[in-house]
Amino acid sequence: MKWEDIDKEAKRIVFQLFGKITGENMESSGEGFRQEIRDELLAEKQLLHEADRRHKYDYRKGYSRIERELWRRRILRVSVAACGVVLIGMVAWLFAGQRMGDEQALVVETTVLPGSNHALLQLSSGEKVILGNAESFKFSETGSEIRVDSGMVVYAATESSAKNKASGYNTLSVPRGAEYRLTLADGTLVHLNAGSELKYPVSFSGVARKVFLKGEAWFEVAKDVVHPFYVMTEDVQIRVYGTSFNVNTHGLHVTETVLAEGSIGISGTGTGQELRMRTGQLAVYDRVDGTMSLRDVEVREYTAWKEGIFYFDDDTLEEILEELARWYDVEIFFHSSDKKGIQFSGHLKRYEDIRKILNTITESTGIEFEINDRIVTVK
Amino acid sequence: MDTRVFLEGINQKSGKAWKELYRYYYAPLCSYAERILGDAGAAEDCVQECMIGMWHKKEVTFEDMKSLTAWLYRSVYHRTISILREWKVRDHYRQTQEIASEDEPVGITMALREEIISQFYEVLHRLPMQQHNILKYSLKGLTVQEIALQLCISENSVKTQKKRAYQFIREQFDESLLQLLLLMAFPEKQITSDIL
Repeated sequence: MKWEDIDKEAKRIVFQLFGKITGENMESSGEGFRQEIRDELLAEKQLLHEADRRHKYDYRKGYSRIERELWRRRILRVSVAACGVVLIGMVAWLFAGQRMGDEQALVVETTVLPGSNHALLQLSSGEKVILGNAESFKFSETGSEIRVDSGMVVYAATESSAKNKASGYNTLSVPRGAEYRLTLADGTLVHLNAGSELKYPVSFSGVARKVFLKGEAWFEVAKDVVHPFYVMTEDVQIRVYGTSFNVNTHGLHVTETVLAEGSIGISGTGTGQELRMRTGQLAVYDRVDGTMSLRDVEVREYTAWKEGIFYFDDDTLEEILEELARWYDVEIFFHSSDKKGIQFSGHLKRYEDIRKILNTITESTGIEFEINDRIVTVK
Repeated sequence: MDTRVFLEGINQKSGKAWKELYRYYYAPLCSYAERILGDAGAAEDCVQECMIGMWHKKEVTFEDMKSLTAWLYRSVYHRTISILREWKVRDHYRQTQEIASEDEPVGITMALREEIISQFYEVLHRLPMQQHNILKYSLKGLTVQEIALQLCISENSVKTQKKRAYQFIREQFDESLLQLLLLMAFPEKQITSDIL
């Protein structure tokens, strides 16, 4: 057998497996090794065990690498499309940079700076705008006026928006190594963490206010009993009437929602049944078995990021470095995977050089890190 | 997703197609690498390396599913073998890894087994809810009578649903493959259209 035969051979055997399970086709011809695989998979519920075995591998975690690659490409495309003035400016900057001595270049290489305020805004027309920290400008969409100012986008519904039912969607994408704030047309405040994306209508119409989230965000929803606010993620749906909470889909196997104030209803996409959350509770949706559980927690631990603090409480090194990687836009490499489970607790400042953070972890756990370019190696 | 659209998306590096690629192949490739390396963490790193490598290779394009499947399993296989060699050198080589997988045919058969499991669940998930449940119970070893009790339906409808499920599955596999199967099942007989 050749590698190219795998696809066809698999089809053939799968068909026979189904024949046996349904009792419709008991034929079991085929060469020795094929029959062996088939029988082995049917015996002792092996097929079920194999499905369980695969559950520990979350493809979303793997795919996030591709998402990052896509980001790089998108930024590049928008940059190319941007006006020549910027290009000329960059060329000048690069030349100026070259004139700096080696000494300075060395400093640049060894510091990995924390995230800053930047994001990519996609308008309903499909047009893309890069939002940085410094600039402030205004433009308008159908039914809404958009104002960008010091790390924040603000939507304000215009007079005509009430009549204009069919308002389009905008998407705000925050890359790794960045964060951004947003005020929606209804006054709801959203703070997006690194590597996150929110899709929302330019102005709200109809009964429900619906937004779509990937990644992590803090919401302060403007009160409006008549128009419930929904946060939709790939795994969970959250129904709100006016409250503050944090949603994080970045977890390796779970999506976490923490309620800081008020009351919300939450349901997993698979379950359909809505659970009522109380203030101070954490809802954990487990992607592997599709279950949702509630428990009381220290809310600050989950929302500290928006005040510029990393708050770790017996988190594993793998989880911690995953979060640092998003914020500092670095790659993590483990020399051996048994270091991944080591736990660490502490409060660290999010706006500091990554070295300081890693040094603190080294001091308390003894684990050494090596930073080379944008790669952090765990030794 | 339609196979042609999917392959085009893979070749042109579209996010949607690549997400689908990860959804279908990531866990089985990891499980495959874990079988050879005996370490889940190393397996994941190895698979990621191969898939990211594929992303960055401009010259690699795929015409059909068989070459895509082959490419992925083959590159994960070769990567695991070189990792095993590195471990051997670094004296990290674990005793349990005394496997014959340096023998390529063994590697291919192991890959075939993973792909069977993937395809099996892919088809199983496409079945209507009740048929899906009935087949899952059958897999767990429940008899027709026990399934009927579990689902509060008659034994007869369990049997009918099983039949329907088989019909549905038959339609999922294309005709050419069915002919091939029938040829294997009845090598002596002439294939006539009424058998199909």
